[in-house]
Amino acid sequence: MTYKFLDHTSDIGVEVRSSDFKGALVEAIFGLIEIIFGKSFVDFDCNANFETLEISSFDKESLIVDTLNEILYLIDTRKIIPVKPEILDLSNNKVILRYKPFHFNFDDYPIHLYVKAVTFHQLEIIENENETIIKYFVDI
Amino acid sequence: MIIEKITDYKYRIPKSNFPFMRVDGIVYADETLLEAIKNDKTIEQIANTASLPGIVGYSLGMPDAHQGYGFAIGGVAAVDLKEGVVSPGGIGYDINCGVRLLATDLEYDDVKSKIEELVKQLFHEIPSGTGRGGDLKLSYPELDEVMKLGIDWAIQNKFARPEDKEFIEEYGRLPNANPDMVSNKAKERGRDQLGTLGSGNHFVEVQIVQEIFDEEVAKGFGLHKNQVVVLIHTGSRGLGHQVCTDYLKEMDAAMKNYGIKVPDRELACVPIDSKEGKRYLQAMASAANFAFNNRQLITYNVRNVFKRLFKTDKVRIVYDVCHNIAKIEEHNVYGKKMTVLVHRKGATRAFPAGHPALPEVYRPIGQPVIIPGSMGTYSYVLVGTEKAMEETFGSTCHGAGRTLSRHKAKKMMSADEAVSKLREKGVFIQATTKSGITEEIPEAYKNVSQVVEVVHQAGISKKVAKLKPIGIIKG
Repeated sequence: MTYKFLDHTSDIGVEVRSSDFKGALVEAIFGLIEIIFGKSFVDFDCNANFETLEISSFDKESLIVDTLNEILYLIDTRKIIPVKPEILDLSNNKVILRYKPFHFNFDDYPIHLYVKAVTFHQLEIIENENETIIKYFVDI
Repeated sequence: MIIEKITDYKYRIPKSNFPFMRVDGIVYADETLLEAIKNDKTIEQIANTASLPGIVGYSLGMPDAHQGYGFAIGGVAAVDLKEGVVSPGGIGYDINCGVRLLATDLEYDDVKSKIEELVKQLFHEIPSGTGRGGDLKLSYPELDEVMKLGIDWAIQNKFARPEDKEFIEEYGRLPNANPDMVSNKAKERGRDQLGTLGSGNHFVEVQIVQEIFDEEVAKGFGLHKNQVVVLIHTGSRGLGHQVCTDYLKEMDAAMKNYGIKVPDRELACVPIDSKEGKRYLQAMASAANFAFNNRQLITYNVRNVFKRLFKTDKVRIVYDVCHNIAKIEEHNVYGKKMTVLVHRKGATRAFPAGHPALPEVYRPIGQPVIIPGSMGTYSYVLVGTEKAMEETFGSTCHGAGRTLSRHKAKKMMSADEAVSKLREKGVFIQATTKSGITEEIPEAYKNVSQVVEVVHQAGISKKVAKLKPIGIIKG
């Protein structure tokens, strides 16, 4: 796991580290899922065909917020946990995300924390030569 | 940052602190609460809010203020309707999060032998929505009606009594709602959540009136000592959250078209009169109307449980207040009457006696202001004052306000310990998750009595009654 949770008076934050932005975005997704379900889905797999999701934004910060809010929407409405997420393409503030849709039920996968939204609050992207760090906070 | 003491309960953040501040900030607090407020970015956020184009008077912080997104939670900002902006961050993700107080004709002795059963039945009847959805799965046209008609939808569908409407802020219906301005995503998130509680600090509490501070006003609100009351705290659920997310994104992109720069991206805003501003206010009103109906469906279920267990149908609404909302109101600013858009984020309207927005029955007394405490602690009923009109755009505090993160709260106490402590105080609790209990322990919050004392002493609302919980239902 290359993400950790950050303290916040009323909410919760995630700090992720990866060798590049693509990897950091995937880790950010895992962090969000762990906040919601209270457990890691990093090694989780399921028998389902991959689906893709395309998200366009106007800068990198928005791309993070928009991508994570899309994940939130999948969980909240379609009752899908996107497992084995992978970035197929990332260019011009557009991301193509591939994942296996795991249809969960609340008895086996109860919601640990209901997340209202992923926010721009204290959002940080630090890109070094060999490492990308993303920090984001969610409203709960 | 320079903060000047004005009185024992009021501090000024002069606009000279930052070049972007258009007006001073004012924080209502005593010395100890101010120290707590200074522990996070609250003061900075109150200063940032003072940068909003068109802001008038002051950027205000209530004694329960704590760090939020863009705006501080416990913040109030009024902007000139002609020159000003609307900022979704000034309302919050949970649009029309609010509280509703129900009064019964029962006294503590009538219910004390059945409290556990009462809590169990309420927990069963009121879905949290974080697992089991609501009992209603609305079609899209039905959901549009909920958002358009507000409480009138519930009256038409027999979930509300006609007289309920009188006792809800704005009579349970913001008139400019337009569901067409609400995205399909938002509608999908909210479709099976009507009548659900949600998680976090949302709750239903059975309480008794423990102390009366103002007999005459309490009588006017229909409250007396030992009376059993029910407090409902929830909002617009996923629908409102998605409306905020959608419009923050839109405004973030649109700001540059209007030459607006703000010190924090979560303060994204556009002119009220712009197409984006008008659309947001219509969507916000739609989500607010959804929230009124959300609290109404919970009321419906509470009434059913009381009827079944205690054979009473005398469960009436004392009042329902919004604490995350923006409203167009008239106020005296700089010595003249001005129409402004008041953003209240974690702040409660507190209109005085005689205000035309109040229902006839409360007009001679003033508006009931309902202040929920943290889990297991006291809640309060206050009354609005003229001083609130003069100083805070008719606003006051909204609750206790967090001081500890959820992580730190969890480390302090286990769920079992928290439940035992509540039991010792004669309080039964039923919650969907253990973390829902540990993260909301009273130790994680400011002392609500201290918060209320500040607004009382500052005169921006006055104490009427103190309520003690005997049963808690949490998501």
